Amino acid sequence: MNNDIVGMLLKAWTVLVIAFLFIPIGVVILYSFNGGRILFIWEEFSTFWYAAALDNHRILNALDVSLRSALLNVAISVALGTAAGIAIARHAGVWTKPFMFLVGLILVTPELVSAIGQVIWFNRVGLDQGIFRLAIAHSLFNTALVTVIVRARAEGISQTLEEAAGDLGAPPWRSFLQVTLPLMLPAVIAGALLSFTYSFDNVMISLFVQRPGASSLPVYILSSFKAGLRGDVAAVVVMTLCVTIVLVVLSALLLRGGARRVNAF
Amino acid sequence: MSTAISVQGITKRYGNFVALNGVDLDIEHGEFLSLLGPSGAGKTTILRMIAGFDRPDTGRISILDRDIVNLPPHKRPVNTVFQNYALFPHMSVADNVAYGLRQERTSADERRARVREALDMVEMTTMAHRRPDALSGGQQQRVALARALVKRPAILLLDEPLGALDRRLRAQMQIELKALQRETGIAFVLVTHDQDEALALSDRIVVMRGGQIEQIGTPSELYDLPRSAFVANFIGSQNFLQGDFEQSTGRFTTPEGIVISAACVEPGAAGEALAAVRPENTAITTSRPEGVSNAVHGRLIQGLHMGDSIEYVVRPASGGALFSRQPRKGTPEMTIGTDVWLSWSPEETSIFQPDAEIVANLLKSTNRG
Repeated sequence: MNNDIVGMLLKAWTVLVIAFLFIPIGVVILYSFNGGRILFIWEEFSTFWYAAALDNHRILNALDVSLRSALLNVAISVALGTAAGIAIARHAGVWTKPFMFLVGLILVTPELVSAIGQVIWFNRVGLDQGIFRLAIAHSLFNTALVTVIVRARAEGISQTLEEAAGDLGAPPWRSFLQVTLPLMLPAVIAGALLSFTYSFDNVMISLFVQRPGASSLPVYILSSFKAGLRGDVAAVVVMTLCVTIVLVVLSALLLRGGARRVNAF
Repeated sequence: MSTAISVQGITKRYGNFVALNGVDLDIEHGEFLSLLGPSGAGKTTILRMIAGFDRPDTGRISILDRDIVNLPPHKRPVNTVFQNYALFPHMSVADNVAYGLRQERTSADERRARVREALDMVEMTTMAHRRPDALSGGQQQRVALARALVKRPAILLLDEPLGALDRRLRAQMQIELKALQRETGIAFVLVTHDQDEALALSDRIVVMRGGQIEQIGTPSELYDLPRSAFVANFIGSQNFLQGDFEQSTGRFTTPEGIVISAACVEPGAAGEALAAVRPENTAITTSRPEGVSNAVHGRLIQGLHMGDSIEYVVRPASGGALFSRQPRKGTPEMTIGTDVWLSWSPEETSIFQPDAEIVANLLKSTNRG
């Protein structure tokens, strides 16, 4: 067979795979512009449901709950996970192995088990703030996730660099801020983005720990599915997709900007 | 000259391993001092203790007459050039060099001037905006030097800085390193396991072994007057003969009855001993030379071309191998396989107490022969 033909076939295959992955997203985007009353039945092109979604206070409320709890969750898991990851990489001791076992356990625990356990615990300690319940519940898994990511990166950064900073006159906290942290930033940002995404589309845990009146967006969409999906759900999904893309692009730009620092000259 | 660093009675253990065992060392202002020894001798441990990365179990380290054992690295007036350079990968060359000055809160104008001066010194000014990963090994080495020297430390510590460079570049960097040291007048303390490097660069060399100092001296002192068989063997190359040394008469006799006379005797050598002569101090002839007291008869088994010289390998009747290095110019080439005499004068001969490692190697080569 000709090499050109093999190349063409491979390219075609690549296009097919990408299409397979992205067509569902394309369909949602397309149908969010469906003017009909029922989402699956195409009637006409319209932006009607976008206006309707932005007018629906229940959707807006769910979006608000989702965003706030996701951001709070990111703050908790990045703070705890970064500290834990660095501690494991830099100050390993007898506690390291049991701790890593615990982290691994959190990552493989079925969400159902974790969710029920957390509901019982939240009720026990009397935490009834909806957003805090969601944020804390989501941050359990995400703290473990950030720990693993940051640890891997911290182990890749030679400790000699911190020694070099100390040697040049930087006290430990400054060598951490100026050398360790910047080199670890990609891992921290990646951890933060993954935590956000996990929290933003989580259904299982949210379903259990949520309080009445503080439903997250995925839970709201799930409940409206029972009543029959309408175009406003697709419109919300597309809008959140846009927010996610903006976030990812922003973090990529931040990372590149961080690399291009002001010079001494 | 006065003392810049004084190390007194330093001991360090890692579990059962004794890294340093009672080391005393004074480093003078403005000198180029090398710590030389095989791996595991404790050279790097000393350096890391002076820099403050490791703490001694016992002993004192003072810099400029101030005890610094309890001082963290960032408060010590020393700077280090690390083995793998340890340049900050997220900063440009100029930012790397400026880093130490930023910690001192030097004014922006002065910082700029000093960074430029330091980069000029290592001829890296044109690379100021590059990232470390866009530099070659030799260039990274220069930046690491500039980054440490810009701080104008009392002492510069260098941990095998040329180890990662190829031979040609290493030779060039050695010349530059020596010139920089003269220019700045800063005391350089270099850790190396490369004896040629230590001989070429140093004002003084500290030969270490097993966590202890074997001998401290100038390159020629160590080369000409090694105090032990270990130093004699580690610096330059050496022929060793096993035998018996009679202290009262000063006679050294090999088991085959060859009598060797020596001008230099290690204190305490008696009974079982080693006689040593350097290959370049021997002559090789087809008949026994007149009027030379030390001579060994053997068969010429090999002639190795070393560029400017030839190293002849002679096998005595007792086995093993003795080496004789002859300049290529002005010496007639010898025929391999002939019987020859290897001879040398008593002035070039030393008698040492036996060294377990060297004796073991001698036995091995004898058995092979």
